[in-house]
Amino acid sequence: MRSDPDGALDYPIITITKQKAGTADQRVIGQSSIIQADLYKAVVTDTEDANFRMEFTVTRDAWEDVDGDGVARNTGFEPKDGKINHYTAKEMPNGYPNGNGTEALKLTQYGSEEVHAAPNQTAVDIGSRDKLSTAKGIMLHVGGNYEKGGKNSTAASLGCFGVCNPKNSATNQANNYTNKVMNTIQAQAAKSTTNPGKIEVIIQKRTGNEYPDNKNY
Amino acid sequence: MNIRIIKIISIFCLVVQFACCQNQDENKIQEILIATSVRNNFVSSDENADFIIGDKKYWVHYKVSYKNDTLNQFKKYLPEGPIEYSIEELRNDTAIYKSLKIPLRQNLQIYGDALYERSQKLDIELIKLDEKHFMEKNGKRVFVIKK
Repeated sequence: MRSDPDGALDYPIITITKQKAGTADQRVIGQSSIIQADLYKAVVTDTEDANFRMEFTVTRDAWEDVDGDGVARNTGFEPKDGKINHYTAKEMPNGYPNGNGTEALKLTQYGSEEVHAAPNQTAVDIGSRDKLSTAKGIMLHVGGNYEKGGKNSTAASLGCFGVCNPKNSATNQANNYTNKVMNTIQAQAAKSTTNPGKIEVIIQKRTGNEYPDNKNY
Repeated sequence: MNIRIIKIISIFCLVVQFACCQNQDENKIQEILIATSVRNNFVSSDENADFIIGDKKYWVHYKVSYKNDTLNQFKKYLPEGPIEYSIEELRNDTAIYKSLKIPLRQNLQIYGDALYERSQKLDIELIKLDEKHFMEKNGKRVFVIKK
């Protein structure tokens, strides 16, 4: 059954939910320490293909301890407005990290990669944001433990979403999982007859206690 | 005799003008690193370069390079490695670099203790730390200038 008969919404939609689904290793920005970041469920649907549904897990928090005081602060990206939370994802031409063979998507809004964001003073203080309520270069890319240059690397974040397999570890890395997720989404987008290549991302905004501001590690 | 003096003065003026132009070209900026100061126990990943001035450590966020008066490389440093933007991307989405006050055309010059646009002063006021390093007057950013 086609849920969008006029074809105006014929493309895959990734919804990043607020539903927790385990934890994953994340490198703390500014330190060599590893923190446990929550994983959240993401759901992919396609209005053109009612039978299509895929789920995967991502990290949303972005832990930094640039001051080195043992308290990690969150620079995770949240939409500025919980109702204006739709983004168009663009494929990173060489994946991310660049040339690592791991596919990635970048968020855009109104045609720009500068997107409205919930204010985050910490992000401004450490220099990862130029403005309090906008963010740039927000991606969905490989998270957790992954292979880079033949070695295990643990991903850090300054606001990106880390695509990460459940039970991820140095011996169960996220590379294949990320590529399978990204390739499936991209193939689904390519199949669209009305909007080939278009991928929409909806981010359910976390509010209040849903968004952890800091964490001891 | 008078004609000869006028000729000599004219040649002298041309030489002075040429020397000024040369000096201005020498002051043209080739590369700018934009960084913020961090504590000395800051651990940088391989992809996020850091550097030290005196006894202070700095963390690099952007690298801007100019060639033939035009911006030819723009990198944003993120935890898993830099993103390099093509000139086409920068032309299509000026928001990527605009808030940094870095123009697409190379029209920045160093005059005295500060970094200025050719025609007017930038919104950001910079304090000269040494020949290569400038610091934002009311902010935390440091600009490392390569001429």
